[in-house]
Amino acid sequence: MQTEKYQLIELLNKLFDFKIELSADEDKLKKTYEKLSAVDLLYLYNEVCKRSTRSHSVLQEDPAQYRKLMSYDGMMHLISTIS
Amino acid sequence: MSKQRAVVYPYHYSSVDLVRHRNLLSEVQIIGVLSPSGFSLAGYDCSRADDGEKIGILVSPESQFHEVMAGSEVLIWAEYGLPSDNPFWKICYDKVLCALGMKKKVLCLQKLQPQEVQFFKRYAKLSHAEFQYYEDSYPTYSFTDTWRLSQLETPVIAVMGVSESTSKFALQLSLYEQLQNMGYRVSHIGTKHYCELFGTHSFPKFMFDDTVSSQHKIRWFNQYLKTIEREESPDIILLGIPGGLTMSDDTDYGDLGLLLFETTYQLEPDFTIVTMPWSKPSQEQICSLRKDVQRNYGIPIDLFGMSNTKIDETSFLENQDVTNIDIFPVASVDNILSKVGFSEIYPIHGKENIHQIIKKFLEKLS
Repeated sequence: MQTEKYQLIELLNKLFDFKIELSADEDKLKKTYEKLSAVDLLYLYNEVCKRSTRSHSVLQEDPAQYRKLMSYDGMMHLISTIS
Repeated sequence: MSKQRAVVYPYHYSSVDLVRHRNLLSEVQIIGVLSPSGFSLAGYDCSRADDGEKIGILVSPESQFHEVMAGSEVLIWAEYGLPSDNPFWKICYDKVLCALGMKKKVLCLQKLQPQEVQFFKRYAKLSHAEFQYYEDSYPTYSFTDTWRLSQLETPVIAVMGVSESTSKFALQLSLYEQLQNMGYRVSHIGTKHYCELFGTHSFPKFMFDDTVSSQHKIRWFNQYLKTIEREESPDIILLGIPGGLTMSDDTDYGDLGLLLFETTYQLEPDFTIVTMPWSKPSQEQICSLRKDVQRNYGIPIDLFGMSNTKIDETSFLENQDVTNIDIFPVASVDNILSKVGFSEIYPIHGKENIHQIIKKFLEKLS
């Protein structure tokens, strides 16, 4: 889980010019993640998809599945699939 | 300046004019078109979409999106008249995001809500790509509140339609192209909202603005035409008027003809063409149409143009849906017209027919 956390921090810093320390605690990270706008979330999601095994679009999911996939936990799970 | 290579998506009937008149596009060169699955267009020449003359570009299936986009710099997001809750939009949005992800420029001709435009612009910025909404290229005009209306000194050809989807825009582009080839300088104000792509003018946005009064629309449109006349010094002004006419059969064809009234209030076109849907008209219908337009708008009709399309009657009568179009072979228009024998109705497809229409206009002016 620690690896995924670091990867998410790196992505947020790289894609959105955040300056989150790698040592930031998970609550702070989660709060930052949950403040992302819908478009930023989707961009992040698609960027992670490019590096992971998931290839089909989240836009075509039903609303419940969409919310699940775009949640903090859903993103962490997706990051764990990055090869 | 070299033109950027562009791909049109989603390709279907509404975007045929873009491809058929691609020589007029000032900044892009269309190198491919992509059609969604289920449209039965992939693998065929683009002309399959409107049953017109061959175009010379094959339609690629949506499944080849990445390969086709890889060889281009621009995605032209063509307009498509479906309600926003249609599941197709998710596929379409996805393709647009994919193009932005590939760092391609997206030229959006699809009408979107302001928040959707913001969404795509933000996504483009994050992707280091560009999202250009059609309105971004609209010039700004400033108008005064003077009550004085000015007369135009340039001959005006007006193109209006009995209803929506009567190939008004196709006719305007054909006239524009052929008049230019004949050496005339033409200022075109077109019925589509993305005419700037052709280096011409979209029908001005204020004319559709419900917060602007009719009095202001009439005055501002007069100043708008005079500005174009002054800045471009054209030989001919070609004016396409969106929407349809209001007929005496009480059918509501849209805005009750109000836009046409506001547009022509201070303007008497030198030559008026009315496009009509594919049909077998009677002499009575033609006479009644002439009489209605003369009475309601004070405009004599010089000739009629017949399209090979018509709005699907069932969809229109049941749901007021004007996006469902029936398309007939171009040859069937010739067949109908040869049977009814009205010399005042011209088919509007094909260079020779356009040439005949222009000849009529020049005869009237001389």
